[in-house]
Amino acid sequence: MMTDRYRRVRYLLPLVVMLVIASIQIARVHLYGQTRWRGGGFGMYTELHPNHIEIWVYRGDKPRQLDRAHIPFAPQPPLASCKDPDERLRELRALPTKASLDAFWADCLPDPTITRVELWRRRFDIERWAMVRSRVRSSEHAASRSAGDSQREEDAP
Amino acid sequence: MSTPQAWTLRAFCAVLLVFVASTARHPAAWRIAMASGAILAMTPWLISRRLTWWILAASVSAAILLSPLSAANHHYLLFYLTAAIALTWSDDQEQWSTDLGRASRGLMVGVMGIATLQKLLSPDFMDGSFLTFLLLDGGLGEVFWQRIPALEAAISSAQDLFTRFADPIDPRRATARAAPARLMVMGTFGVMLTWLVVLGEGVIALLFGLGARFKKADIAAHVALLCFGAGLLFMRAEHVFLTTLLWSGAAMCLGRETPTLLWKVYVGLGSIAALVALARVIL
Repeated sequence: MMTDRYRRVRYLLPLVVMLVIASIQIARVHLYGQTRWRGGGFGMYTELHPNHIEIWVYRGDKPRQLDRAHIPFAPQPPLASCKDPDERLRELRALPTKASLDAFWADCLPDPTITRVELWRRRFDIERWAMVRSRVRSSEHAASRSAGDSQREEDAP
Repeated sequence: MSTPQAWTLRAFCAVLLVFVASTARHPAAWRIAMASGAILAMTPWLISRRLTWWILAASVSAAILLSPLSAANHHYLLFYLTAAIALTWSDDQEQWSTDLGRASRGLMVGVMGIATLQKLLSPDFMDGSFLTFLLLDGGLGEVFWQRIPALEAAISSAQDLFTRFADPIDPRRATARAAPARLMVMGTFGVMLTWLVVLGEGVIALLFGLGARFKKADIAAHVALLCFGAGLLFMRAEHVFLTTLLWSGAAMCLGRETPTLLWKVYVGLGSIAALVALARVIL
């Protein structure tokens, strides 16, 4: 009897792990805006791929798209300059939270003339029969970043 | 070892090789180790050891842990299946076949059930917006529409529009761009396809669940999964996921009295998907 129970645990365990991971992913989609495509929740093909998230970098009021995942876009400066920028861009698109955006800016966009970074999402709206673009996140913390840097300098021994 | 169980495991190793060949962005060291492991696991000495499957499961999970936000869903499915092989492993081959079949069935119900739930929870999917976009963008059924000049011209014009929209000078002044009104019929197809996909995946999950007890439901589930697989093969280049899904379907036939024809169709369709995946990498 015990053997049967042990066998059942062994063949049901992968399903249980799958359900736990998928539940976490679904919660993150609804709480943090994570893409449905990633994270083991089997939500692929339920919304536009995260490659349709645009990253816009502003100098003053002048915007420039940082990167686009599709050819024939030719990226121009500023470029993401950090360790494994492609992976960082994929991560930012998969989890476009304010914290992710701030971390990406701090790590990958060292240019001090950048005043703002925004994430925009493209989607097709069947009711309007149009492609639409909406801003999902923005970060405008040049002043606070400078303040933070000053604070760190003051804290240094 | 030339038992059906051994050949099922060798087929799984082939799925792992397709997975490695199609995953270019992982480190070369991981790809070489994973491919070597999958090839070595086919040998009679290693194929019959539980540790082999734990090592392969750990290697697949490493791919997920290396980039958790980039890992595709077939990474996860392959991990669950490899872990299921290791967990259910037994020297009693009949018992192992039965337990692996049950684990695969559970995973299939899980994958299809969760995929259906995700679609029901997605507003962009349920109103037809997402699949209409894929139809307009040419992301579905490329082998068909490229052979119909009128359709190809329509899709090309939509693709041009989407490309221009994706590359504006200022996003704040380009928040919407209407698609050509003459293509609105695609919206109707998009909505119909939406419901076909949701119902199809939901029914497959339900039938495999019922198939554990009722033989007719089991056969209907396999037929539905094979139809889904054949449709996916021609509609969208997701060959690694498809190969994995078809292996899982074939594994469910182990330890049960399933018509041999079903198993043969799984092997045939899975082989085509695997070869197409490899051809896309090589060519």
